[in-house]
Amino acid sequence: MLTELRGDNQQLSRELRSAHELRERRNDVATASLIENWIDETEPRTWFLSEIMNER
Amino acid sequence: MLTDYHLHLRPDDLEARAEDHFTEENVSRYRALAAERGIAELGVSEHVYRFEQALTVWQHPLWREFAIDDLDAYCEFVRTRTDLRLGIEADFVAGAEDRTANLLQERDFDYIVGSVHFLRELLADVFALYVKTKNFHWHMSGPHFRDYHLLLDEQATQIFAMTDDIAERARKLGGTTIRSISDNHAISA
Repeated sequence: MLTELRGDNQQLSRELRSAHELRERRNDVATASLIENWIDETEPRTWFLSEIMNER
Repeated sequence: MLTDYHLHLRPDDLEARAEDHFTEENVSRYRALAAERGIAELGVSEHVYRFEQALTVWQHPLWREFAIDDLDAYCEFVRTRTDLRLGIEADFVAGAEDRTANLLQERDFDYIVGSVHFLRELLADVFALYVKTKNFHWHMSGPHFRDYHLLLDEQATQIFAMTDDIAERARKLGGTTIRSISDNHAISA
């Protein structure tokens, strides 16, 4: 279960990064900065999931 | 020479009817404003999903709701009653590349605006992740049950807050959002 969630969060990070690139290219600063926040939240989720998987 | 090739004659809501907006009067409003701003060439690029022919590309529930007009009538209006360039804004739909190409090649568009309306797809993916995280939160077991249970609940709450922000953003940008569970499934699948 945790492996799957970690994979999904990693995939989400990738999606967010490409969305960010797209919005930056269109000079949509407001959306780009919102997306940065979502990346900032998504990466620690992946990290926590990795850590608890290593503990087991 | 200044150009603007990304115009929509009709606003992006369901109540806006083609017959009220695909008119010479409406076009002259755009012409006047363009002249004021020094724009010499104008092109119109209506959303492909407003036309019933788009359903040959994708049978998405939202498209079925929006696809009410005839694409050929739009092309004919622009060609015969306006001096606008004829364009179309076509969505990239993964897996439907050939059907999209067929639809577009059958008509003599001057240009095509390609769109990835990504926020809606992103919303579907994030919502699916929320459901999964919440589900695992309830089904965790083993010696670390409490820790995992709490961690996943925290994560689920965070992901849920994100869906709200994304939906709001997508609406502000003039897009559409998911309206039902079956929509969500169709988009994230």
